[in-house]
Amino acid sequence: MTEIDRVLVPFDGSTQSERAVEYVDSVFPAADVTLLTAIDPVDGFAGYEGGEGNWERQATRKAESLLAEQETVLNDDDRAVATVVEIGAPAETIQSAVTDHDIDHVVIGSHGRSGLQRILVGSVAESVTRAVSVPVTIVR
Amino acid sequence: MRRSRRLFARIGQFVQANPVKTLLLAVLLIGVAGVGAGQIVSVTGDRAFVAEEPTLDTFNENFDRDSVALLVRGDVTEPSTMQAIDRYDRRMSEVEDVQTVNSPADRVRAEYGYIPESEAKIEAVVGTPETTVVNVVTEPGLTQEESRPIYGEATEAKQWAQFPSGVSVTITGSAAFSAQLSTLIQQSTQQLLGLAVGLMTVALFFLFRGVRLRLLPIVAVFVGVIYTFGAIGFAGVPNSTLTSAVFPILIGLGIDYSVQFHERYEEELETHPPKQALPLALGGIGPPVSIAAVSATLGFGATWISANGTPAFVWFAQTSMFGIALTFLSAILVLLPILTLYARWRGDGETASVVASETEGQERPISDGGKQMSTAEEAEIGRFGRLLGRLTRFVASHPVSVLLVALVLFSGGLAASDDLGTLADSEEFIPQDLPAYVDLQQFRTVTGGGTDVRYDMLLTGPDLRDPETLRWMEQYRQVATDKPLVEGMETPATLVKEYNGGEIPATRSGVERVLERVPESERANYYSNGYAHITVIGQQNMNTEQLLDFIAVAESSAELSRPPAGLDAEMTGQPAVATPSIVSQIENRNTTTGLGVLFVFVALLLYYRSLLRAVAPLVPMIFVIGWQNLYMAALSIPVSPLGASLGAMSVGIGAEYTIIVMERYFEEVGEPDVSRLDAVEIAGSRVGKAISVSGMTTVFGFSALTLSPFPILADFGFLTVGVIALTLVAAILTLPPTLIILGRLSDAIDTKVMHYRNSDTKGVRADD
Repeated sequence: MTEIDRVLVPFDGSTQSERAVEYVDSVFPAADVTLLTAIDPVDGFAGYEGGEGNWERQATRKAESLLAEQETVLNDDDRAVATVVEIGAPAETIQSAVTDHDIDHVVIGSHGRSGLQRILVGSVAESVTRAVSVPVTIVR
Repeated sequence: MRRSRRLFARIGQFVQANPVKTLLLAVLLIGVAGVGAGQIVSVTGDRAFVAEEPTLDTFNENFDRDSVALLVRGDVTEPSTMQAIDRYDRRMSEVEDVQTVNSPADRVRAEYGYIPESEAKIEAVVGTPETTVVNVVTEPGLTQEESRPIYGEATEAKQWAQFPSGVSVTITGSAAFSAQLSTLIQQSTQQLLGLAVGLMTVALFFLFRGVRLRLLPIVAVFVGVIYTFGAIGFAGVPNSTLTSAVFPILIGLGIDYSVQFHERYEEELETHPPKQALPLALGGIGPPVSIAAVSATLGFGATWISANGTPAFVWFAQTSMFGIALTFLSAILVLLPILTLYARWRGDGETASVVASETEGQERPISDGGKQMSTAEEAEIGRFGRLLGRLTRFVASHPVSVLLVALVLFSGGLAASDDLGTLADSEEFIPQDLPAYVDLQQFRTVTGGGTDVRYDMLLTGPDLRDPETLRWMEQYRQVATDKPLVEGMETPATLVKEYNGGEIPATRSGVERVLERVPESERANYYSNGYAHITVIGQQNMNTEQLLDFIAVAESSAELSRPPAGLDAEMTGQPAVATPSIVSQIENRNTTTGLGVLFVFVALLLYYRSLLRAVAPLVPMIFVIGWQNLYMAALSIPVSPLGASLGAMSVGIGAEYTIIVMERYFEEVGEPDVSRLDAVEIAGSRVGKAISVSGMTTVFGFSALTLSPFPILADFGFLTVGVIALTLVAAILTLPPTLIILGRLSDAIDTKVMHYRNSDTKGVRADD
């Protein structure tokens, strides 16, 4: 089995994505981790859907603060943790991040979308599984 | 607001994913609009200014006949001239919807049974006039559309009749005038449109620098105008003098929507790939532009409601409302897909995403500004933007004094309002040197007055042919003609007397016998379907006030002369109804403006759910309402019915600038460590320039109106150009101090509420 050096965790502020971070912390204690939040230009992300002021700036700030919290969960001396905020459709952004950051494994929460949105748009996790060439772990 | 942002972002996402389909939809809609545009009708003159009402409808159906007059000057009694008149007379008698043709040839023919070759014989019948009129009278109750072909027939018959050289022959009269005016309106609409497009092109070329495809907004707005033509055709809104003013306004407004979308898209493209740039751009700028468009629509809505059913104003407002919605739509359906395709073709955004990934982990240069601006942004803002930023900061630092000056000017404007002249005579709306109008005036001089000095009164009652009623008519005629302004009167009583040796018969059957001797065509002018018609002749060249007095005198004299029980006498006909209706529109202008302010306020309140944000954009616009009176007084621009709706319109249109500045201010003031003054400066420097560019472009569009041959439109052009410039000034100079004062007020209220709740938290200090 190939060694897993770099793990990507798409993080959208949902409980499932928090579980994914916890999972990585326990299962891949030595791997470097990239925490990625994709801000969908239409729907934002599970942790931020919109509010007063400049939407993009606020969404970015909210994502950065959520990622900073998760960083503290993962931080120890044995690994490097990077946080990335991107604007774009989640599945595509994750797919490009896998290439750009030389990722060996993706750990993703089962779903951030709920109800009608999930039926209409489909599951990000499913799309990612189909699209990337590295192993994907879906955490429920 | 959040839903609105998402909706626009979703539309952006769709257009981005399906640009070709969106463009095909736009093309399909152009086809549909073409079908609608073919159904547009044109309505001119008084008919456009008269609301439907039962008395007028009854009058129109029974007595209102259009006329096409042939004015013949020269050797009238020359046999070849009289033969030509006879040929014209007989040909026109065959035309559909022509009731009678009255000409001197009738009398000559009645005398000899033919037109003699001897001038002396002709002179024996008609005398030696230098001028004569051949009058073609139409059937009553024809619409302008129905009576216009008669003018066409008359023009052909004039050629066909072959009048000898040396005789001047002019076709005039109400139907002819209406037809000629209609052609002029169509030409003028096209010219104004062309001119507005030309001016916009120049404006965009010079002002919208640094943007690719900078003339694209023209294409988008032009498509919006085509859609508007289609919509008014389908909705049955006619084209009239006032409606032709809408199109330059629409181009001015529509270009603004397109420019805002275009500029924001370009801005987003600098830091995002096209796929994300369009949803982000539309999500960001769509909501403020849409609320601004809704405000402008509501401004025109106020005009519609306060127009009291006067058709021309209602059509003007309806066309404008359609136009705003459709130019907004065309900005989305035409501009955005073309920009998307262009960005794809150029491969835009690929560099943007690389730059974005390279800068990860560092401080991201945020395209929307923020407290720290990148060098690129500084360069983009430029000297003008920085100047505006400093200016807005300065006025915001002295809010009380700036607002006091604005208030003093506003009060001065209100005081000047009463001294402004008015333009209410619909004949003054048209070019006074228009050949058709000059012909009509000459015709009136020759015939001792035309339709305009002859006003109509409709009589309704149980027994209009009773000798007692006829005696009342005589009494009424004597009472009224003793009054100033009333020159004479033609009543059924004068007709009966004329055919009965100057006497009114004693019995009803006697009256009937006399009427039987009157030719049908003449009798129909006095009695028709149980109604009677009196013609009241007024002085020539009465001004608006005199005309209103004249109408009042005619009606009060009818009452003073004690009419028989059950008889009702009412002044009617288009000239008598149009002027009072236009005057009331002018007098109601404060109501129109108030209604506009109220509508826009309610819309803003519903949208923002915040009193502060609903009030702030309106304050500068209210100042403009006062200031515009000073501008009108300075340039001696009279208040026309079109100008009367300007207050409501300027609130609607100007709200766009204030809403955009305010939105940017609140975006900035929400950022950490940004004081109100900082936020004002950033908003001023970032969007001050953008609204100045779009405002200047709008001014260019409106300025096409100043070149209109119609005085009412040219005045309106000067007015709108000034008012748009004033709204820009107000948005930049009075909005910032208003935001500061309202912010302090809001803080004070919050502090009080906190005290009241006995909270431990100390009041938020004003941070400006």
